[in-house]
Parts: sequence; C-alpha cells; structure tokens
Amino acid sequence: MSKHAAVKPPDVEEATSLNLVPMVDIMFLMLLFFMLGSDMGQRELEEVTLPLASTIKEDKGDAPKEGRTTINVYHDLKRGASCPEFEKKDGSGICRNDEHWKVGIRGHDYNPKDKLELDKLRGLLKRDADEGKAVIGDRVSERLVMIRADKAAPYGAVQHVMNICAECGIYKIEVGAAQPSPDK
Amino acid sequence: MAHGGSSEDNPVSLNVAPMVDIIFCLCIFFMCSFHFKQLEGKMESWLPKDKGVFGDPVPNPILEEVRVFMRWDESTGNVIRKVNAKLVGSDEELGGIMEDGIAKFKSLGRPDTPVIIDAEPKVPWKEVIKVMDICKQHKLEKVELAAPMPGAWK
Repeated sequence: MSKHAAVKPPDVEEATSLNLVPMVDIMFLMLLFFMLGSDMGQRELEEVTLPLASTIKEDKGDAPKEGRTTINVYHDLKRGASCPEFEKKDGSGICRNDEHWKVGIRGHDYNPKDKLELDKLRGLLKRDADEGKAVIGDRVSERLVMIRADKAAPYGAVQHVMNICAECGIYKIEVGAAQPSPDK
Repeated sequence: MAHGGSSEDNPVSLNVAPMVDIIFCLCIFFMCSFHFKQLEGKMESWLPKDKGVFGDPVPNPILEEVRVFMRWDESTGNVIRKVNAKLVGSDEELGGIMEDGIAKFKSLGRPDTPVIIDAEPKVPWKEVIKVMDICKQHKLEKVELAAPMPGAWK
C-alpha cells in the first residue's frame, strides 16, 4: 500500500497537450509520396485516350541505345476552341476536322497541315533519326518511335506521321494502346 | 531552462505552426495535381525499309496478301470492312477470314504473306488498332499498314 501511495498523480495539463510530431511525420511522408508519384517529368506524354487492345505488351519505357522518340497525336482544344463532336460525354466523339488534330513531340505542338510546322517536325525527326544511325549517311536508322495517338484520331493523321518517319529512315515503330479493363 | 524555467517559456523553442501550414499547402498542391498513370502498353510494328517511300514502283504487282479495306461511312458513323472485296461484319468473322486466307497462302508455300490494313484517312485510329489486335489474337504476326494515296491527308 505504501508503494501505491508513492505514485505521483498524473499531470492533467501535460496529458492533454497536443503532440504535433506524429502529424508532422505523417504529413512529411504524404508529401514525399505525392512528390515522387507525380508525373512532372513526363512532358513527353500528352493526355490522350489510347485505343484498347488485348494483345499489347507492357510498356516499361525501356529504350534501345539509339533512343526513343515519343510522338503524340491528339485533339487540340488549348486555344479556347470547343469541339462538340469530340466532347461527347460517353467518349464516342469522333472529330473529323483535320485542323483540330495536332502532333506533339517533347511538349511542342506541330500542326501537320501547316507546311512550315511540318518542315520543323520533319527536321526534328531527321535529327532524332540521325542519332540512331550507325554511320552518318546511312539510309536506315535504328531509332525507335512510339506513336501515342488518341483513339478517335483520324487514321490519316497517324499515317502522315508514319510517312514522315519512313522518309527520315525510321522503321522501328511502336503504337500505344491500353489494356481493356477485365469487366469490359 | 538553464535558468530553471519550463520549456513553454523558452525563447528559442521551434514554432512548428508555419512549417505545418506550408506542408499542408504542398500536400494539397501535390494531391490536386496527382493523377494515377494509365497502364499503357504497346504493339510493335515496322515500316518498310525497301519499299513504299524509298523503293521503286513495282511494274506488275501480283496480289500475294490478305488485304483488309476500311472505309469510314460518315452517314452512319460506322466503319465498313472488306477483306479482298468481301464485306465483313463481326470481329470473329474478320479474324476467321484472315486466318483462312493466310493458311491458304501458307499451303501454297508462301508463309510470309502479310495481312495489309488499307484504311481511309478518316477511319478512327481505334478501328485500325482493333484490326491489328484481331490479327494478333489469331497469331497473324505479319501485319502491314498500306502506304497512303498521294495527297490523302494534306
């Protein structure tokens, strides 16, 4: 009994004070998670809705030593333009206005209908292709090109990009597609 | 404390409130800008090295291929598919016809006969990918995309 009597009664004021340290720890961890998980470095990838295909290979992003160029073909609504045909809510919108489709490489837009921009695009792909040539002056480049086209893009736009690749000597092509969800 | 005071009245104690505020703001920023990456895949393909834009035109081409024509019907919003002039409806039918066509060429001693996808420029890309997917499902690995008609999308 004498032992119990010796125990000091709890200090009520101390027990109810807010300990911020665990909260700060958790917030730090959350901050780290979101910072590392965010896609800041992926300027190469424009937001496109990829077509679905069940036989795709997983894209691990690994490139050959000659490098890889990602080409996006996407619907451009950045300049305040609206396209009711494309913006159907069920995702079935098909826009056939060729002026609305852009080609994007490394964050730059190119209008394939504009001859000047087309020449710039051709020049850029030519430089990329030259990096993949074993000997300068070779016709064929080992450079890999990944084409990420929106599922509603006109085939003509993609074909046009492939044609430019072929002109530049690029023959290794990958086309981006997404795995359908199992319930579909 | 050195003077025997409590930790509350220590003038150099760290005030964590502004730090917590900033971390909160950063957290909200990253949470709002965060989006989960879509699982993406790829289908490998090759452009011709020795024909098409580089090669000389073939004088008398002999049809040694299974050719899938795709035409965009603007009035109905559908794609019309034909294999060697035969109208095809379902995906299963298309897969079966292509498989039979390739098997015929193989029996004739031409195992490298390709399936050629010849689509109009207005056909949606997803329809072309669908045909490529059907080819892969039926183990038809040699799939080529036809070169565009001059001035087709210009």
